[in-house]
Formats: sequence, C-alpha cells, structure tokens
Amino acid sequence: MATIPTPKMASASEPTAVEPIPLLGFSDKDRPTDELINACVHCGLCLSSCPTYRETGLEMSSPRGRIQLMKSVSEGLIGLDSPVFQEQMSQCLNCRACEAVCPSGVQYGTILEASRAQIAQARQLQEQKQLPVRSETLKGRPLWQRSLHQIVFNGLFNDMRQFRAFSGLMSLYQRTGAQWVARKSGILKLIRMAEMETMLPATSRHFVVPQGQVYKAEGEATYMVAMLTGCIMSTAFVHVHEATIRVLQKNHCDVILPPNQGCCGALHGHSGDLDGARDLARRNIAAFEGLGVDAIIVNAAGCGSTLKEYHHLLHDDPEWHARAERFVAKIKDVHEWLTEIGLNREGLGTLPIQVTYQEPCHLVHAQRISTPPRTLLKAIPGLELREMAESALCCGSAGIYNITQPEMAARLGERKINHALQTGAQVIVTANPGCHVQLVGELRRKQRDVQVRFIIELLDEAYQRGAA
Amino acid sequence: MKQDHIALIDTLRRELGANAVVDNPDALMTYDSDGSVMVKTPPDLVVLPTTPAQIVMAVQHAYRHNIPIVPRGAGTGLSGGATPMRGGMVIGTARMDKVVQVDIPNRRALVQPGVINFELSQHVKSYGYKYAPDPSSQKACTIGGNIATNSGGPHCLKYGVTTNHILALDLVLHDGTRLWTSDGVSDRAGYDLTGVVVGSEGTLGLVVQALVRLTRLPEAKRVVLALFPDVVSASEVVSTVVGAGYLPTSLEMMDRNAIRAVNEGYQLGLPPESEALLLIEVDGVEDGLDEQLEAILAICTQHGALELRPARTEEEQNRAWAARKNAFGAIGRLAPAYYLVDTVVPRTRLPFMMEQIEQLGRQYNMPMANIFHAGDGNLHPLVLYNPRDPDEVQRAHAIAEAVMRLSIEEGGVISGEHGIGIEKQNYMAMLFNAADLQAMAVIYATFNPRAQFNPAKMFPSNSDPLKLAEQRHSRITRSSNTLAASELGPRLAAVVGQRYLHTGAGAAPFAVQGQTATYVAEPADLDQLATVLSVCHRAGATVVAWGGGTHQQIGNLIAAPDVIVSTQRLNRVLKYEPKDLTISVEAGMPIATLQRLLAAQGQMLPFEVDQPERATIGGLVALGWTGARRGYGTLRDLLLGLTIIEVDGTIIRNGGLVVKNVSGYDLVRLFNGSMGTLGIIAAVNLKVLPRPVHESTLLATFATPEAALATLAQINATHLVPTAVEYLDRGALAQLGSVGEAALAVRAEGMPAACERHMRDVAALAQQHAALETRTLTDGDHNDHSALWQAIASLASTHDAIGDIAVLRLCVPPADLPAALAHVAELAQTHRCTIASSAHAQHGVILMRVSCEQATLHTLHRTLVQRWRHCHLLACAPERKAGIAVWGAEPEGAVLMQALKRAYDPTLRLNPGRYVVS
Repeated sequence: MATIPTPKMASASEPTAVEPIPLLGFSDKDRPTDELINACVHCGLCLSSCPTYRETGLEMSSPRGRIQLMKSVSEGLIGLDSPVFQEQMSQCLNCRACEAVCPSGVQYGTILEASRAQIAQARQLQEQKQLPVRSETLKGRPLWQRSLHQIVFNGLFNDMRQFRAFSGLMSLYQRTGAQWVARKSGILKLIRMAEMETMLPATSRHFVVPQGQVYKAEGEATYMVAMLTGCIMSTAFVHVHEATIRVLQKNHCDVILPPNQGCCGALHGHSGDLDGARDLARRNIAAFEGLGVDAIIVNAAGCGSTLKEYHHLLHDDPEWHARAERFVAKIKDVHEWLTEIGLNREGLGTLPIQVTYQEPCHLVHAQRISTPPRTLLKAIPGLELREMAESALCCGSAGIYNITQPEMAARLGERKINHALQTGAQVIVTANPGCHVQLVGELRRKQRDVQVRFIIELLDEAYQRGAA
Repeated sequence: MKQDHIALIDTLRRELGANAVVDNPDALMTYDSDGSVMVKTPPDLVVLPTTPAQIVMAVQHAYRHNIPIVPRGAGTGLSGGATPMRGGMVIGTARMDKVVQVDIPNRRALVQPGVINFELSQHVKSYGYKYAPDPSSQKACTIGGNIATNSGGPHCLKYGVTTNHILALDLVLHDGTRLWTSDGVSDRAGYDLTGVVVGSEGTLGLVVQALVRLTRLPEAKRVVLALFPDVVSASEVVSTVVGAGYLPTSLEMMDRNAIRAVNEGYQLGLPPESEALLLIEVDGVEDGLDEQLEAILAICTQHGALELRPARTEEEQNRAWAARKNAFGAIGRLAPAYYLVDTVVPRTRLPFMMEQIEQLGRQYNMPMANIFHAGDGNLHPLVLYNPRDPDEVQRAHAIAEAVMRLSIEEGGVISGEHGIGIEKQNYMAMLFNAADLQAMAVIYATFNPRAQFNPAKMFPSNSDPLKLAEQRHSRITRSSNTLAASELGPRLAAVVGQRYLHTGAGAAPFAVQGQTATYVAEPADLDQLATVLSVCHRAGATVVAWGGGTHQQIGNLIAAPDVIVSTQRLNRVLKYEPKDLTISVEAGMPIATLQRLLAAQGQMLPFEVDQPERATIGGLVALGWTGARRGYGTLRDLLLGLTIIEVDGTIIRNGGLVVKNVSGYDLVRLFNGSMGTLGIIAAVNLKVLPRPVHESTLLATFATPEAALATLAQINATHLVPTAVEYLDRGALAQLGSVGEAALAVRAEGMPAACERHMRDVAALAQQHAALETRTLTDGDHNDHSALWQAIASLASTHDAIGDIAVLRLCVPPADLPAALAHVAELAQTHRCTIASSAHAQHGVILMRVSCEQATLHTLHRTLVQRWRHCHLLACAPERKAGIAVWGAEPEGAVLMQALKRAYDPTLRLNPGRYVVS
C-alpha cells in the first residue's frame, strides 16, 4: 500500500511569503486615552439605558461593547479599520444615557468623540494616500460627498452669514414650490438625498441675527443674561428664540444677543472633527467674554451640553482652557435657569392641553437636567403632563444621525413616537431642534395630527394668554 | 469542522434571520466575558432569538453539531457564568424581553427571560404589584439571569430570593425538547424541578419563559439611616432588631471606607467619625409602622448610634437609599477596578469577619471597603486593585480566597447571590466533599448528558461532572446485592441493637397503609442511619422512611417494604444560635418539641401541623408539607440545608446554615417533597422567625359561600397582608364546633396597631357582604387564637381516614378557587355525599374530608382530576385506593422526574411506587 505523502507544513522558522499587515491603531492626537477607556469595569449596568442596544440586543451595540472595541483597538487586538469598530462608532447616538447611569463615571462621550476623531484622521490620511495600509473601510468617500462635507462643515457652519444665506435659499425652496417639484421629479432620490430632505425643518422667512441688541426685562430687571443664538435655532426656529426672549423678559431678565457668536460646534464634535469644534468654541468664548452677565442662556439642549464642555474640548490648549472654564461656569440651560431663579408664575394664563415630554438626551443625560422642564410644564395652569414610557430614551435624531444611520434612526423614531402617542397627548414637547425635526418627521410618516413644541413656546403662550 | 461551522451559521441565518446570528470575530470579542473579566474567551457564534421556538431551533442545531451552548442575559453576572469557556454558541436573550401576560388575580406574570428585572416591577406597578427580588444590578440584569444565579438583593431579607418567587419554568433541554417544570399551581405533586433549575447557572437548559410570583406593593414604608461608632454595635442592632420581632425588608451595612467614599462622592454629610452605617427599612400597612420605627430608633440609640436619620417621606427615603445605592459607584471611582467578593456567614459572625477582612487588607496592603446585606449575613468586601498590575491582581485574589476560607470556617458558604461560575469553581471542593459533589453531578448528568450547556462551570475545574455522576452510579450499582438476604436481619441488629430492631408483631405499629415491613429499624444517630441504609442496599432490601408515622396514609398503595427505617431516635438539636435565627436539628425531632425549644427563645416556625407531638420535621420535609399560614412562605422557603442518606448509605450534605446560598445545585428544594424516594432525610437546617409582637384573627361567618368568596376577593385587592386566610365551609365549621354556611378566618401578625387595622378592615369588608357574625380572636386568657389554628391544621388530618372517610386535596390557581369550590359542592349534591372543605384561600389549595362509598370516591376523584388536574387522594382506607391514581394527572416534567428518580435510586429501593413517578 502506497504511503500517503504528508503535506509540507510551514514551520515557524521559515519565512512566510506574505508580510503581515500591521494593524492600524490609534494615533496620539485626540486619542481616547487608556485611562478613560479603562475606567469601564465591564459591569454592564449601562446596557438597558442604551437605545441601540435596546433595539438590537447586540453587545457590540452597547456602551460596554463599544468601549471594549475601543480597548481592542487600543491594545492592538483589532485595527482602526475594523468594519465592526467603524460601524459601532458611527451607530452610537452619543446620547450619553450610559454616562448618566455609569457607576464608575466613565466619560463615554469623550472617548466616543475621540474614537470618531481617530477614524476621521485616518480617513483623511487615506485620502491623502499617506497611510501605509490601504483599507476598504477607510477608502475615501466619493468626491461629491467629500465636497458636500467640506461645504457644510467648513463653510456653512463656520460662517453664519453663509449659513443664513443658505437658509434663505432653503426657505425659498420650501415656499416656491421647488420642493414639490424636486420631490415629484424623483431627483432627490437620484442624488441620494431623499432621506435628508424630509428631515429639513421648515425654515423661517426671517432670522435672528445677533448684533448686540438688548431686550429689556418687563418691570424691574434682576438679572442680565446673554443668549446663544446658534445656527439652526436662529434660522429654522426663530419663533423659539423669540419665545425664549419674551419668557426671559417676563422673568426679570435683560437679554443681550452678543455679536460674533455662531454655531456651537456640536455637529463637528460628534462627528469627530474636534479641530473644527475647537475653532468654533474659541470664537464663541471670545464673543461672550467680558459682558458681565449673570448667565449665558441656551435653549437648545445639544448646544447647551456642547457649550458646557468647552473646557474639556480645549483641555490641551493652555491659553484657552482657563477662558473656557470661566465661560462654562456661566452656561445655563433655559429651563435650568428659570427654575433656579424661580419661575415668575404671575400672569401665566391657562393652557388646557395634555402634553407629553420627550427628554432630549443632551438635556437629561449630558446635562442631567430632568426635573426643571417638568417643573416648568407643571407650572402652567390647566396643562396636564402625561409621562410617556422611556421618555429618556433617544428619539434617534442625534445630530446628523438620521442621515448617517437612517435605519436605526427610523427604528428609534418609531419606538419613540409610539410611546408618545400611547399617552394620548395632543402636544409632544421637547427642548432640542434635532428631536423636534425627528418627531415631526415621524408624525408626518404616521400622518398623525399631533403638535411638537418647545417647552419654552408653551410658557410663552401661557404668558400671552395671561396678558390677554 | 470548519466547513461544518460555516454550514451551521448558514442554516441558522436562514432559519432565524440574518440579523439573529453574529459571527464576525471582532464582534464576537464583545461576548468574551460578562460582568466579571477574570477570564476572557470569545464564542464561535452568537445567536439572538426572538421567540422560544427560535431558541429550540438554535439548541437543536447545537445538539446536532455537538457544540457548547452558553446562555447569556445582560452579561452583568460577577462570577463568569456567561463566559463561553469552551467557545461554542452563545444564546443571548436580549431580544426576548416581553412581559407575555400579567395575571393579577393569580398574582403572577408570564415573562420572557430577557425582561429586565426593574422593568418587570415597573410594568406591574400600576396594578399595585412588584417583582420582589431586587439585585443591585436590577436596572440592567434580566429575569433569566436572575433565575440562573438565584439572585438576591437588599430586600430579600423579608421577601426572599429568586427561588421563592419563581412558580414554573418553560425550559429547553439539551436536545431541543421543551417542557414546563410545573404549571405554577401551589401544592401540586411531583419533584420540585423549578427549584432545581433556579440557581443552576445555565448548566441544565435554557429558560424560554418564566412564570413568576408578583408581590403586593406595601401600603407604606419607613427607612432609618443609622450611624455607629463601630461595626460591632451596628451588628448588635441587626440581631436585636430582627430578634425583637420586627421583620425589616432590608438591613444594609456599610463600613467606614464605604461611608467615606460615599460622603466624598455625594456630599451626604455623614459624620466622619462613624465606622458603620446601617440602613433599616420596614414596610407594611401604615398602622403600626411609626411605632415600629420608634422602637427601632430606640434600639439604635441603646447601642450607641451617633446619628439617626429617620425617613418618612418618599423623598427622604430615596435620599437615604441613595447612600447605599451609590456606594459601589463611589468606591469604583477610587480605583481602576474592584474585586467584589460574595460570601455568607451566620449573622453573629459578622463582627469577627469584619475584623478579619480588615486584617487581610492590611496583610496584603490592599485598600478595601465593605457594603453588605447584614440582615442576611451576606458579606460583600470590595478589594480595590489595578487590573493591569499582576501583583495587585494576585493579592486581590489571595484576599478573596482567604475570605472564602474564613467564611466556610465560620459556618458559611462561598456565594450568597452571585453564583459559582468560574470564579469560585475551585472553592467548591472546600465546601463539599466528593460524595456531595457527586450527588450534584447527578442533576448535571440527567439534564445535560453531553455537557453541552455552559460547560466547565460550577464544578471544580479538575473534575468532570459527568465522570462524577458515573463514579457515583457505579459505586451504588457495584455494592448492590452483595449481601445475602438472610444476612439482613442479623446485620441490622448488629447496627442498631436487638432492642431497636422490630419484626413480626413488633413491626405492626409501623404498618404503612396496612403493609407491615419485615424489619423496622430504629437507628440512634446519623452514622447508624447511614449504616442501616448501607446494609439494606447491600442486601437488596426495599426501604421506607418513617418519621412520626402521622402521614403514612399518603401516597400510592405499595407492596410491603423489607425495611422501615424510623428516625424517631434522631431527635437532637445539632446547632441552635438564636441570634442567627437558624437551627439545625435531626430529622426525627417532633414539631411540638421543636416549637417549644424555639418558643423559649421567643422564636418560632411559622406553621401549625396536625399531631405536632408526633409529626417530625424530617417527615414534613419529605412530604413537602404546607399549611394554612403562608405569610412567611411555606416550609420550602424556610429550608436552608439538608443532610441526606443516599440509597447506599452515603451521607451527603447540601445547602448550609445561612439564609442565603447559591453554591451548586439546590438539592434541598429537590429533596423537599420527594416522599423519601430519592434519599432519606437525616437532618434539617431551618430559618426560624421571631415570634410576632402581636397576633389576632378575624373569624367572619356568612350566609353563603359566595358572600365569603366575594369578601376574599376584596381582601385580595387591598394592601392588607394577612399571614393566613382560610376558607371554611359548613362541614369544616361543624368540625370546628361552629355553625354557618361559610366562613373566613383571617390572621394578622405584627405590631398591635397593624393587627387591629387588619381586623377592622376585614370586618368592614365582611359586613358589606352581610356577614352573620365577625369575631376577633387573640391569645388572651383562653388561647382562642392558637386553638383555632391548631384545629384548622387538623381539619384534614389523614391518620383517621378510615371506613368511608377519605381526605382529598384539590389544587387550583387561586383565581379559580370559587369555581373549584362550586364544582366540589355540585359534586357533593349530585353524588349525595358529605364533603367538608377548607381552603388556603389565597393559594387555591382545597382540603376535603369526604364521606362516601367506594364508587363515588372513584367518580369524585376522576371528575376533579379531569377538570382541575391536581386532585390528590391523600388518605382513605388502604383497600379503597386500588385502581386510583392517587396523585392525579401526570405532572409536567414527568420525564425528567423519572430520570432523576432512576439516577438517584438506580436500584429502585427507596419507597418504590409510592410517589407520582416511580
């Protein structure tokens, strides 16, 4: 019987034909540090608070799982170009619900944004062909996408004049019938912007342009406050700004809108463009310095949480860090401010409506503000607050999330709107433009006649009714 | 193999959906461990089913491919229970998070295993109920995971642990077979499979649905935060409060390091000189609660409390609890990681343990803190360490091992609520000997014969549970029939002495349902009992155990046994430390003797039993006995440990003498109610209770059964927490020397004001239903109260069921009680027989004393079994049992029960044919 030849096995001493591909790890700039990553003790208490975990049931879609992925990159077990790592860093809403429940105080938002910054940096290097390894997942995006990103992030958000001009065009687009034509023609689908287009808020015809104007308090002025006007809020949500100013006036505040302020940089930070975020931060800090105000008021949860963290963002900038700390100390969410100074309940008229409150993540989790919005709502005579299930679970908006992760955004939007509708409330209130847009979109999809309002709008309305 | 693996994944994707399978290696890494991170090893694939049917499919495929299955809930476990030690398939229950049904009338809910503990309580809150076990991770951990580790929590001091709240489990076995362990009906017949699966750490099967008990939310509660200058005085307070008859829901302690951490982290302003913090919570009806709070405050003051912070409002209470609940987090921030050790010691050993733990911290130069369930003696020392410093890791482990050794030396166990997993598997041999482990391995081999479910867990890493079971099996079969039958008598006489071996007429008083044994042996002690069993086994003799003989009427008619082993001479107290509220006694101790012993220390076993002077504790355990008074649970809930003589005379021990314990399989629950068919109970460890400050009973008589039952329904809808509600029909009332068509006896125990409130409210409800008479009984001059409950316990006495008398037990879901009683009444009328019924009304258990002729008895039993399944013919003249399946319908899980019987008693010598499976 013939002996079967044994196949020759490669021995360890023999050189292998293929050079091992080095794993692409974190680079030093804006690195999620081991200290921050290792603060996680893997207890899993965050799981139930995480919207993407609740939707998928996948460990890697949980905060603990994502931290483990970061740790794996940091320890060189997987590369920065791991599709699972990239997908998870993108799928996270950065709602930071996990931070609020973490017994070990993990700064999840910080390490997530740093991880995203790492991906963005690697992608940039790849696009500039400076990376030693070529990875599919880091391959440059199509030119039109890169250009669009360039225009939006470096152009529009950086310069409020451009932003307003663009918003003006949008308003025209929405009002002239061009929107109707574009939708009908299917051109949006063609350029893959259908999803994005439905998310666009109805834009106002006029804008709030901060030029140092001062709105005097009604009656005696006890406080002087400055207000952040931001980008989207000052164009698409002008009525909310106007309501905010009127409510502050009713509450003995002189309100000043300092010039030269702009976008808070939240979207930059969340998407890993930390340098872009820093530029905007420096500009805002400078704009609000030396005003001698009692507080800087923010009425959008996302902007508020970003402003409150400027000192972390500028931690490594010795010149700006201290200035950031002084700035941060003044930031107050409008609901936080009004409950702190004690809401002026005089002159509040009756609003006989049932409302349910969708808590913006960047208010409840990032800023840990949960009671004040409810306190304000309950102060309105006639108003009935009906709590929805999972009121603090992300609605799926999360900045540009519904553009980058449309499927998950839709699932979470659906979950949220079902909970809201179950309460039978006529109005869903919130305190963030992203949530507003998401809720309106979901209601439109469901063809349900339920309003979405900012809490401050209802307060304003109650004061107006009281005056009438 | 690789090809096979790919095929498996493809099949699973096709059948369960593409999203249901994870196989990307980077993603699989996130499943390499649970809340513990001592060992990390990723699975080969993860399956995330959404339905029980999908779990069955996944398990079937794993079975076909012979790969390990590791169940995973939220992965918050701290002992490595969900770590896939041998790779294989992780089945995650995260997508099975539905509360399937809330059944308020029966106080239970059907839930999927992925339901989050806290969310279940939230779900039923609006009905006024909660799911009682509340582990500290309750906001993330799942019911399935809780079942696997028999989780506890701060409130289990009063409410019990997971095993006390699981009624039945829908289980998928290793080959994909799906079965229920029970139907959740109280007092049903059959081995306690549910009790076996709870705490089995995913090694026996996969729970796909659970029927859980719901607990009424208390009407009110009070919390005290007390600070003490030292741990010893705080520990004294724990014992004193419990001993004084106040039954707190929680007694939580923190030591100075924990206090400092919390103080710094949360600015609670706790006095810095305090060495111990005690959180005490009591709940119940509003009445009497403030008196209780005052009494507890007084005890704290007597023991030198530095500061007391009573909390009456909900907000104050939340603030008080915040200190406790945030403690782990506060300490967690002091170091990169902590090792949370979980052991249990008798409550009185706490001060000593605290001293030792502090010394260990000094010896190994490691910072430590203590936050623990003091009321249960459940220690949780935290060792702070840096996981990246190998030396610190080693020192942390050394401390953990030392704490475990000390706990065992002090009479404790190695896990109170976290389980064994991989963390403590090698400490199992410190707690159990080879025979103990072999007896546990029987369960493993029966449920998990190919070691597919969660392999390499719980048993010491150097021992294979399948081999252990095999060793035991061959030990038993090899020694069987090695002694000539003629040697039986002489050998038995040599063991117990001629005086204590009876034959012929001497054996007659020990007749079991008319059958006299060839020999009756009365061993003097544990060793003699073991030797008697060994002799019987070697001689091939069948054996029936005999306690007081008070309940030998129960069970199928059997052939005359070769040997009856009486435990009457095993009547000693083995260990009684009143301050620990635990007692260990030999099986033959009569209940009355035991109660007198306890009463001398102001303590009790909270039940009344027929013929207490004769009935023995071992006999009651063998019966799985339950009674009318269930406010503190039944005997099952009071059992802590057992010493058992196996069929071949091997002595094994299971459980412990501490109130919380998750150390291996729960043979205690399995042997409770096994009717002497699996082994013979030689000694019993029990949790005992302080006698309540006050007791009273309202006896309300009604013109119709409907009025009584309508009153019952209203009582159930209130916040009242009676310790017993007994329904009595006309016949039962007549037996008690009373008249009336129907009555309710409602018993309350606790603070006088709380009892008064119960009496007042129940009387008012009874009046609404036109009660003929309401009478409050207390133990004043005439002991009316005790006498009534003793009489109720004897209503369905089985020993005098002779002539045309038969005693039946009918078990139904509590909400079906009215229908079942109506059915019984209708049958009595149709068949012209007299039936006296009493019922443990909140639990759906009806006891009937029937006087009728043979044919009617047959019809009655058959009809009731057909409609209600669980109708047990407990006792009648032996000859009347012929042709009747006395245990009613075949129980769920009968296949497993058969398999367990055959595994524990392979030669079928123990009480053969007596129980529902044989």
